[in-house]
Amino acid sequence: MLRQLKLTLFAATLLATGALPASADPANTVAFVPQLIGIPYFNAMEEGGKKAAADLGVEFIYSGPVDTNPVDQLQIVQNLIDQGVGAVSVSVLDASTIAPVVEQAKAKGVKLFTSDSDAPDSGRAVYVAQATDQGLGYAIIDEMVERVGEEATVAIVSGEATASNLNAWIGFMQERAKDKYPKLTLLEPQYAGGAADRAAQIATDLMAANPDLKGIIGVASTTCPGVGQAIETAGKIGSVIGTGYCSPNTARSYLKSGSFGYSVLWDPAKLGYLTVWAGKQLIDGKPFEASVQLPGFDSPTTYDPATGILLLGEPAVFTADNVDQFDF
Amino acid sequence: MTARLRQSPTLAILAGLWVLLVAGIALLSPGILTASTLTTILQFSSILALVSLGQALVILAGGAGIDLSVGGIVSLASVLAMMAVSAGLPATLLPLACLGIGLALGLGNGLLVTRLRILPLIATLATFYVFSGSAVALTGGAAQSGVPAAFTPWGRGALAGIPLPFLTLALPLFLVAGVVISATSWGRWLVAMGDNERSARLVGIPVDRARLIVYGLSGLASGAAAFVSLAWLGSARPNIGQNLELTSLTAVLLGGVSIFGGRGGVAGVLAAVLLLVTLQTALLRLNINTVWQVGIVGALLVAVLVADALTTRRR
Repeated sequence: MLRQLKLTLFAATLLATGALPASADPANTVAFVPQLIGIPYFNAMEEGGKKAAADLGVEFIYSGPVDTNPVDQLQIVQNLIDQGVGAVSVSVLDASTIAPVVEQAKAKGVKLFTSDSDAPDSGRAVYVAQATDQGLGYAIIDEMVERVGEEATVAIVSGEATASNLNAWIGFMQERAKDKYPKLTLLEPQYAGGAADRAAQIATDLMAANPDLKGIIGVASTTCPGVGQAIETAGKIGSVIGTGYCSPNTARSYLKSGSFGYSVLWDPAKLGYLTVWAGKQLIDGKPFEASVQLPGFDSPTTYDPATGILLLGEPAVFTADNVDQFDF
Repeated sequence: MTARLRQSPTLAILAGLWVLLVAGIALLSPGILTASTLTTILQFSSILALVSLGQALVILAGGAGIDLSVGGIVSLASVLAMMAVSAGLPATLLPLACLGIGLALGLGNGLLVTRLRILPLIATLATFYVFSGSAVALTGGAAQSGVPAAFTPWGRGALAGIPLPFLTLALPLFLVAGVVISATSWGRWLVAMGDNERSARLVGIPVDRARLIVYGLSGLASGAAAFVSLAWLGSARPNIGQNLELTSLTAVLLGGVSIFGGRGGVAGVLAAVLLLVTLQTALLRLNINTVWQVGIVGALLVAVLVADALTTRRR
C-alpha cells in the first residue's frame, strides 16, 4: 500500500512539474489559438502578439494543438472561454472548431474572433485577415513591372491546378496585367503540382522556349525553390527575375544569389500584433474605424463593416536587403 | 469496498490520482473548480469514452485482440453518413446511418481476423489506413457541413451540467457493458476466451463468432462516437478520428485492462478516460504548453503500469 502511495505521489509530482499560476486578470487577457504550435509562421505571430500585449498593457496567452486536430483546438478554445478570458482569437482549422462554442462565448461575455483563417457565418466578432487575393495578385505584378519594365514577357509556374487560392491569385495577376500594363505579356500558367523538381523542370523549359523571358512567378510556396534553382543552373541570374509567394526562409538563398528579385507575402508578426490589438479593442468595447495607422506598420489597416474583416494592409515585399529581418 | 479496491489496484490508483489532480488544481488555481469545467471535461470525454469502450471489449476478448482502426471508423462513418444525408437520405436516419456504417466496418475487421486469421494488429492497421484514407479521399480533405439543426441541441446541450451525449449515450453504454461482462454468460465467455483461448474452445465457447461480434461492437461504438461528433461540431470532419486509436489504447491500458486479454473491466476504462481528459483540461487551464501534455500522459501510463506490475507480483 505504501509503495502504491509513493508511486501515486510520484505521478502527481510529474503532473505538477512546470505548473504555473494562471494569469492575473483573465478579463484583460487576449488569447490566440493557432492551428498548430511549433512552426515558424505561428511562432512569428506569437512574437508579434507578445509585442502588442506589452505595448497595449494586456496579458497574452498563446496556446495551440500539437497537430492539426480540430477537437484538440476546440478543447483549447473551450477552456479559454471557461476561464473567462477577455478575448479569444482563433486561426480556425475549419468552422467546426468554433461553432459549438460561439453561443457560450457570447453568454459569458468572451469576445470570440478569428485571425489568419476565417469561419464566415459563424457569428465571430471580427476576422483579422492577412491579405486579400486581389492585393497579393496585384502586388506581385506591380513589383515585377517595376523591375523588368512594362514591355516584357513573364511566365507563371503554379502548384496544383485545382488549388482555389492559387488560381484566384493568378486571376488577379492576369486582371492587373490586362487593366494596367497592356504591353506586358503573361504566358499561360504552367502547373508543377507539389514538387519543387517539377517546377525546376518547367522553369528551365520556359526559359529555353522563350529567349526573351524576363521574369518567372512561382505561385505556390513549393514552386519557389524550383524556380530559383532553375534560374541559377541556367546561368540566367540578372537576365531573368524569379519571384513567388514564399516565406523569407524559403526565398532567402535565392534572394541572396540574385535569382529572386523579391518575394511577396505578408508579415505574420504584424498579423499577430494586429490580432492582439483587435482583441484589446473588443475588450474595451471600441468600434473599429474604417482605417487605422498602427505604430510600426507600413500601411494603414482597413475595416469593412459589411464583411466584418479587419485587413492587415498591403502585402509585404521581401528583398535581399530586408530578408534577414524575418524568420518564418 | 476495501476488498474490491484491493482486487483491482488500478481503480484505486486512478481514483487516488484523480483526487490528487483535483486537489492540486484547487491549490494552484481554485478558479477552475466550477460546474462549467465539469461540463467541459465530460463533453470532451464522450467521444473518447465511446471509442475506448469498444477498444476495451476487443482487447478483453484476447487472441492478441486490438483495434487500431477505431479512429478511421469514426472519420469514415461520420463522413459517409453525412454524404448520405446530403444525397437525400432522410435526416432522421443520420444516427442509424452512423451506427450501421460503424457496425459494418467493425464486422469487416472481425472477418479479417476470424476468417482469414490475420493478426489483429496487422488487420486493423491495414483497415485504419483504408478507412481514414478513404474519408480524406472522398471529401478532398474538406469538412462536410449541413448536419440537420435538430441534432445540435442534443450534441451541445447539458442536463444539470452533464452533457447530453455523455448522459444519454456514453454512460448508459458503459453500464450495459459492465453488466453484460459481469452478469451474463456471453460476457463471461469474453473474459474466459481472453484469459485462455484454448480452454475456452475446449469447453465449447464459440470463440470465433464471439470475437467477430466483439469487433462489430467496437465498430458500433465508433459509429456512435461519429454521431456524437456530428451533433456536437455540426459538420463531418474527415480527420475527426485522428489519434483516437492511440488515446483509446492509452485509456484502456491505463484503465487496467491487460493487453493480453482476460483481465480488467470497463469501469476502470471510464475512470481512465475521465482522468486523461481532466489532466488535459487542468494543464490547459494552467497554460502549460501542449507539448508537455503529451509527455505527461506518457509518464502517467508508465507510472500506472509499473505500479500495477509491482502490486500484481506481490500478490
